Amino acid sequence: MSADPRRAGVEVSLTSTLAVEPTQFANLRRRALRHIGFMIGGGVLVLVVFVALFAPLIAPEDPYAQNLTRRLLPPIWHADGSWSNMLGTDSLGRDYLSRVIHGVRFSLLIGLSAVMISAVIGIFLGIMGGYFGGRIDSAVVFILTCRLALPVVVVALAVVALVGPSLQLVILVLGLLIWDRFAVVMRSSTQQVRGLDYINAARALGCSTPRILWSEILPIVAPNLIVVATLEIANAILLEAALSFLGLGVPPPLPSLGLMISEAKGLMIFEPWVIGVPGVVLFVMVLAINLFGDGVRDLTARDRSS
Amino acid sequence: MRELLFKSTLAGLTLAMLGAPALAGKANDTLVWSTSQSLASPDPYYNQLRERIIIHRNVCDGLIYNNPETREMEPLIATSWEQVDETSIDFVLRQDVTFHGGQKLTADDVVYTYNWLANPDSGIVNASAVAWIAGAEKIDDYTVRIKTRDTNPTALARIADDIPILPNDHYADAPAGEGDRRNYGAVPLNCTGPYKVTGYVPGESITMVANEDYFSEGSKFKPHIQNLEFRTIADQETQIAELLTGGVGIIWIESKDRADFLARMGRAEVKSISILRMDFLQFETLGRSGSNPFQDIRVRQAVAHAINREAIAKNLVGDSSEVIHSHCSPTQFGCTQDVRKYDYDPERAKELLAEAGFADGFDIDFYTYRSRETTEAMVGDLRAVGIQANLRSMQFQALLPMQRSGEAQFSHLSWASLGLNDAVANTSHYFRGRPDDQHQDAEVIAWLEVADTSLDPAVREEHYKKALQKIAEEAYTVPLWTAVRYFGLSPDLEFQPHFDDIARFWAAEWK
Repeated sequence: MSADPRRAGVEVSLTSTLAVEPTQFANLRRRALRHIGFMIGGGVLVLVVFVALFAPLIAPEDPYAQNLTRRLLPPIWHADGSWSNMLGTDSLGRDYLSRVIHGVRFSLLIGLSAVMISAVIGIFLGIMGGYFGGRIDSAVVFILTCRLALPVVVVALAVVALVGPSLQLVILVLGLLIWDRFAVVMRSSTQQVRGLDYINAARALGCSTPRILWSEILPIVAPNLIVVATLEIANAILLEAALSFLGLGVPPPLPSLGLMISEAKGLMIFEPWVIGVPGVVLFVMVLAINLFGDGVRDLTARDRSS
Repeated sequence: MRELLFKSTLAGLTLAMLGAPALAGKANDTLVWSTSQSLASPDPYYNQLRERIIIHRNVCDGLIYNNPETREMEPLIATSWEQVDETSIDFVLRQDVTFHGGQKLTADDVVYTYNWLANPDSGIVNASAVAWIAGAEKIDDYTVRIKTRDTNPTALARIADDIPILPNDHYADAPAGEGDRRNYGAVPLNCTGPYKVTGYVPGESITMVANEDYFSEGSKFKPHIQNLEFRTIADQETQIAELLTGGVGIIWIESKDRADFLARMGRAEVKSISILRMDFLQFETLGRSGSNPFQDIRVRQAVAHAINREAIAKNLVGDSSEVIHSHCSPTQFGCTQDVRKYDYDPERAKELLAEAGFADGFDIDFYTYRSRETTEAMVGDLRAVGIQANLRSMQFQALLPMQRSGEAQFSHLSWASLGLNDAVANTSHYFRGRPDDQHQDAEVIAWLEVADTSLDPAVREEHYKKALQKIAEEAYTVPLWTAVRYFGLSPDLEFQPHFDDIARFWAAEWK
């Protein structure tokens, strides 16, 4: 123990802080474990991320390898199904399980990439409008209003139809169109904290504006942004599936879940599993992301209120 | 479980159709034919859809009839005809023909129809199909002379298939249309054929009834089935549900898989036939939108070797589809398959690509407006030899100007030859220096000009052969396969499809 009483006081304070943090973490963990939606969503999401990361190792076959002599083989639960193609084959004889695994990978890639673009745009606009207020805020609100006036699917369809579908374009277009929630949440959160004492204190200490925005405001509103991000990932995945379903998303032969649903639509009456498999996978993935996002929101809200 | 799912889906689609008229089938002597297209007009000259052609063949008559079984011309409105010089054919008309409106048909009606088509101001939709007509003259009340612009060996076939006769002054009372134009397509159809139109709801349906006074007793005759209706049902699944529940009697099935599944169910009859339409790969070799790999013959030949046409035709198009090696449909006059053939040989394709300097392959946009399934299968084959083909699927109307400007450098196209069973409507369309000629080969153009205008069949065949052999040698296009038309039929219906893709409903009957 130090002989300096002031130093001793700091050490006591640090010790007590360190003692509290594990307790808070333990509480958070305990509440997370009790949150059924968070656990189910998180569990499925871990599985999805694992599948996406290791798709080339997990997939039993090349998802592009077509074999026209084994078209539309039924999945394992059908009487004629076999373990060699557990989920059957599609109309070009490609292994459906391999296409689904790679489809999950592409969906997650598109969702994450589009949300990263939209987060950068939305957070920048939101924090600028919320922190500075005045004319800058008016300009941000105007841009936001313009964006909200655009029907996302129609604009995305038009742009992709004009330029030509590609994976990169789909990511870019979605990223440029779904930043509005980030901006709204970021702006209102920033407005709430910008007048707080610790921000004024930072200003008084001579901190630069970028430092205040980056180090003081952004961390405090980050939990809200995580919730928005999860919802927007699900949104981007669904939008990509819709675009691909309409033939203007990811171009064939890339294994997109939306494209698989589109290709299977014609056989819906006769072989429902062809459309059911990618449909169920898409549903479960989006549900899991939403459950996880809702869970994060519940947990962080309680954490902040406590 | 599978049956339950099927019944649930079918029940859902059937519920969605409640409210639609269901007075169809053998009991009501009403044959309903449904496709996904909606007809802007039943008029034969102001509408370009295949459905319109089929309706006008059932409702109207040309001067003569092209028998699909014998491939011979037979009398219809005209009892006899004679080629009087290289550009004139005289027709003697029957004297007992009446229009559905009650007027007796005379030479004036034939002269009016042909002169209407020869007049560029008429503004008919498919002007190129009648560009050969110079006009018509009346010789007497029941004799006419049809004049062609040039020597035209296919004039009789076009007269038989493309030119329904309308009454004199048929379009005189056409209502006003857009701008200065009049809406000729809105004039109620008045023809002489085995069926007559009794109702037309734009975009929905055309109802027809058998013409009890029909004059012909030859290959075209008074219909067995009293009532005929064309109904637009946009969604194929709904069409199938209607077929299975008796709402419609005949549909076109849009893919082999659906046809196979429907046949396996045993609740509807499925028929298929190889038709005039052929698929092919088109290259842009003139470099009009900048240089491209296909200007090198070795790359074109590599593509020809890379595509497994046999497997795609057999598995995705249908058993009755025929792989073709020559740029024409095998049944067409002048078409020969005695040309250079490119077997499926991916290794040879890779060698050719390497020789052309593309050992690592290349990326290219691949345009299509037809079956995405067959195009996607070709994308897979091309990928296997290193060519990354980025699929660009679009409507024909959007692709056509891109083709003609050279912007689309690599496309999967399809051509039905306007229903004409002659290479003039196919090979010459794509290689005789016209807007769709992507190659402008002077030698090929010269041969085709001779073939298209000679009245000597031997000369025509010889020159088509020369042109087709050079086209294959240069691999200007990769001919793929003949298309297959699949029909879903009510189990009560007896219907015979034909290679020319014309549904002859007058010959259909209930079992």
